[in-house]
Amino acid sequence: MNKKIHNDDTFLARWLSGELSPEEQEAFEASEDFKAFNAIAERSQQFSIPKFDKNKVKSQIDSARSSNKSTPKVIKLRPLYWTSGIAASIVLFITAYALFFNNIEHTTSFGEQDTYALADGTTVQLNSGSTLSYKRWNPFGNRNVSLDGEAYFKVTKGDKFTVKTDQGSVSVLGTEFNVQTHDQNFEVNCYEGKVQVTTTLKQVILTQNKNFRLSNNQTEEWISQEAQPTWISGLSSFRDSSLEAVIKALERQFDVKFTYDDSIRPEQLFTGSFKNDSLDIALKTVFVPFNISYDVIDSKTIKLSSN
Amino acid sequence: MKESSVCEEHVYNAVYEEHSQYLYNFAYYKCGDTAKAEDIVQEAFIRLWNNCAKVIFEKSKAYLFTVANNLFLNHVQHQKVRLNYQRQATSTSKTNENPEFLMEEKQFMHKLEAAISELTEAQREVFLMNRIDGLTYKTIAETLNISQKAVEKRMHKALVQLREKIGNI
Repeated sequence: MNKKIHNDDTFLARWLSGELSPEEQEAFEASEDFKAFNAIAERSQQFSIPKFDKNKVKSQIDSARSSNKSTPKVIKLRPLYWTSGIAASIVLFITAYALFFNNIEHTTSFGEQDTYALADGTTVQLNSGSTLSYKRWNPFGNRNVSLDGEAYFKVTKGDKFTVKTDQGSVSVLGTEFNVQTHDQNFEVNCYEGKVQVTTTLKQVILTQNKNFRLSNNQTEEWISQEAQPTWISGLSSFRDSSLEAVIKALERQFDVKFTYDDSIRPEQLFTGSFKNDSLDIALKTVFVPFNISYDVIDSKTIKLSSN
Repeated sequence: MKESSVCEEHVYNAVYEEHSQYLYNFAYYKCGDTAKAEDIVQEAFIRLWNNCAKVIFEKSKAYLFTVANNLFLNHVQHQKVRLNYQRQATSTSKTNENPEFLMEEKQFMHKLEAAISELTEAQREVFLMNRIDGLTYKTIAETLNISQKAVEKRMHKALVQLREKIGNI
């Protein structure tokens, strides 16, 4: 045994990888140990180990990976679906409400008149300073409207048609009628068919040419002969109306304001009419019979005084 | 420059193709238990997948072997490392194939197998990675994350050890 040679602690490793110098190699091959080392080196290469089942292990790894990964994904997505469902529902609800369930409102200003057709063919003619509103979409038919002011209805025959006001409601099946509601005054004039009027004080049924009025907690019924409201043809008519109501009507038609002192008694009654196209003539028509003088201070204000 | 991420399925599969056999061999050289070696491979690759975002492609091999090595720290006892003897018909041995020689050779292989099994874990894994897997010292050093000098020292010691165990032939 040549200790000198392989006392170097990497000598045999270098021999095995062919890194020895020719002199070292020659000396080693001549040594007693060489045959044994050579046999060990050569024969050890002939060993093998039990076969590795690569595919079996891979499929075990893959199943472990998929069971690790899929669970958190599901947990992550569920709350997202839930909240987005709510969000979508809210958006859908708001959109549907905006499209179908809001109100349509028509308003006429001073001196204006306008005519509207409803979905069922009913026409509504709005007098000055009035507001008509109704639901844009109603699954049971659109025959409920709200009114503030004065309007003339020509209702197409069909289900019950109802006009709601602050003072009472008017229900019909198909007819022509006028509804007037200003402050505490509520007046219904039936021109055709049959009208049911409901107020807190009284419920009446009006037939053709019959009229109803609720004013200052008093009801009144009378008969007239007009075929349609006079305001339709540009005439404002009054029958036993208070001077105050007439002044308000003038204000609505001509967009003016009246001022008056204690010498004027607003509860005086007026029967008659004024034309809607001329303020000057209307003032004469109304105030001359009362012996009231009027001064137009500016284009908006008129001062009344008793003679 | 395109970076390969181990999180990508095809990259992960390529890593498995390239390293799983060597990893299995390495584990087997350490413990001599096929079932245990398979478990080690499985565990190492699952950990690689779970940490794929943190392990860069170039380091995946070192990662796998480090994990495997660490798994052995809890696995102190090992079985006798059984090695199959595949006789190779080499040109030099052909003329000597008489029954006597074959008997001698069988005895020698048996002795060698026993001696290898008695090597320390560190010596055995280096020796067999070089002899059976045919890996260079440089590659072994990279794989085990030790210096090439350390590999050569282990190799030298392993040979001295085997020589002593086998005795003269």
